[in-house]
Amino acid sequence: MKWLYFSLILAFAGLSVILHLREEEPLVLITHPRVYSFYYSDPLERIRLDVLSNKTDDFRLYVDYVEQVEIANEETSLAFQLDRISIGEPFQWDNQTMAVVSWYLAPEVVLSNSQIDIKQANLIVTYGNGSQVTLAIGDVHYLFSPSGSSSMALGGVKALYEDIDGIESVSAIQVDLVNRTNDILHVTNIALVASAVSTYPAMIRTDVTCEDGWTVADCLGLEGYVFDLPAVDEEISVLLTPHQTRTILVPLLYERPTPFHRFAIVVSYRINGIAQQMVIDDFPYLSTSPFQVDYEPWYVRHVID
Amino acid sequence: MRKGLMVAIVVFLSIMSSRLVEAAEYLSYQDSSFEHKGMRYLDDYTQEMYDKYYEKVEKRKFWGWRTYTAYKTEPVNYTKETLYMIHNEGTSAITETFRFETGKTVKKQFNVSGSLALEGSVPIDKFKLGLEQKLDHSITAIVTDTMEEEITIKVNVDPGTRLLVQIKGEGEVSNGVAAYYVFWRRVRLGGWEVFTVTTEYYSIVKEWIPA
Repeated sequence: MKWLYFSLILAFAGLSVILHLREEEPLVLITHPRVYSFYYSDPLERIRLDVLSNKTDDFRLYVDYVEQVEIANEETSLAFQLDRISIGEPFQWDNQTMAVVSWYLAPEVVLSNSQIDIKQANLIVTYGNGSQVTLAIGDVHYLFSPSGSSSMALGGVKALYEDIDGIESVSAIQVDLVNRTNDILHVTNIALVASAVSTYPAMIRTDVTCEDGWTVADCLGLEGYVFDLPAVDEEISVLLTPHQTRTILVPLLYERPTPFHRFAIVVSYRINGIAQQMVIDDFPYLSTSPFQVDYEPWYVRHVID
Repeated sequence: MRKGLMVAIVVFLSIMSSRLVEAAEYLSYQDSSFEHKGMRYLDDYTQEMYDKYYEKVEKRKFWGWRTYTAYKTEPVNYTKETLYMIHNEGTSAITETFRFETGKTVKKQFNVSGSLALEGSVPIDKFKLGLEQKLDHSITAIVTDTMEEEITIKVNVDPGTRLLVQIKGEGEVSNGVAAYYVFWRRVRLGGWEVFTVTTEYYSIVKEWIPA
């Protein structure tokens, strides 16, 4: 009998050693690079970047250990303050437990009147111990600008939605622009704060009625509409008579399929020959779960040792 | 010794028994309609449906769940409560900057019937006893519990009108029945449902204030 107890103790001891020696799984962070478009309109607002993580207790997911955060590519860098990190409920993904980790960031510096474009950007997080995590997040566009004069105002805004290459996307926006003056306003451009997605000036239409569920082609009365044409930078011409409100349909073009759901818009116009602009703050026209089975082909997996 | 064991089993089984479950948020949406005809929410199951589905999970097992999925990831469209933002009952136009958050939106919600149970604080529930892990990956794959959309936007509000933010959405509903066995004894039996939000659409709409 003694040999049985002895064998059992030996087996337990061996198992404990094996468990201790077993290499700890590395931290895996998954991103889905996309096009981000932000407008700085309020010191309290934060931008949110979502990452999928296989761990919830790793020190790299806690604010206290973070020394510095920046969004950068090889040419441009923008420093951010890390406001907070929120970790979602763990769930089962591809036979492992994962959780969504959201990083809430505020720009470290506020520029006076400029647009920062960081294509193929990385979120670079530096920790107190000198280690660094670099995550591919896509294109980041950040507009710092006064919101514009009071001559023009936004009366309402909505979007049309279509499936573009397997991604539920905003296919057009419909804005109600209000002339608040006794003069004529001449709208010369409606542009997105982005480059991989742009407006299509030649297809901009006024006073078009689009029902819910309609496509761009339905609204334009066309047989079809192509989303991946090259972007064209040309002026438009829409007049707003004194105190008039006009609804403008603005179809979009996509350089590549990408989630582009929340974005800022700049409306340029002239009043008495003077160029002005109105910025429509980044608005979430569409909100989907950042991580879905359909998006898996676009995921970037970062294994952090 | 035997008595003690019996008491322990009784206590164990009573802990495993049913509890009152609060209704999930999605059941209170303004309206919702399934893309395909014939689909039903768990709350609309008939007794005949339960009887038919329970047959699929009645084979006893030593320990754990037997599940049956009646409807899997059925698309549903819904309209949530409209968020009224700015009223202008005056005589001249006003320009307002408004700021709001939609932090309470739940991406994945659960509902149960019979003696199945949820755990966690409403609305972020999950099934008890790890039922979620026993369901097909596609049913539970859509993730995140809350969307915290912070929106700040400057708008013009004409006299006699109001601006409101509307939220419409699309989701997927899966439901079925499940039974949990302990030592070949069925200790739980009931229906389960998972509602996942796939997409939400936001718009700012101007309306005349009704007289």
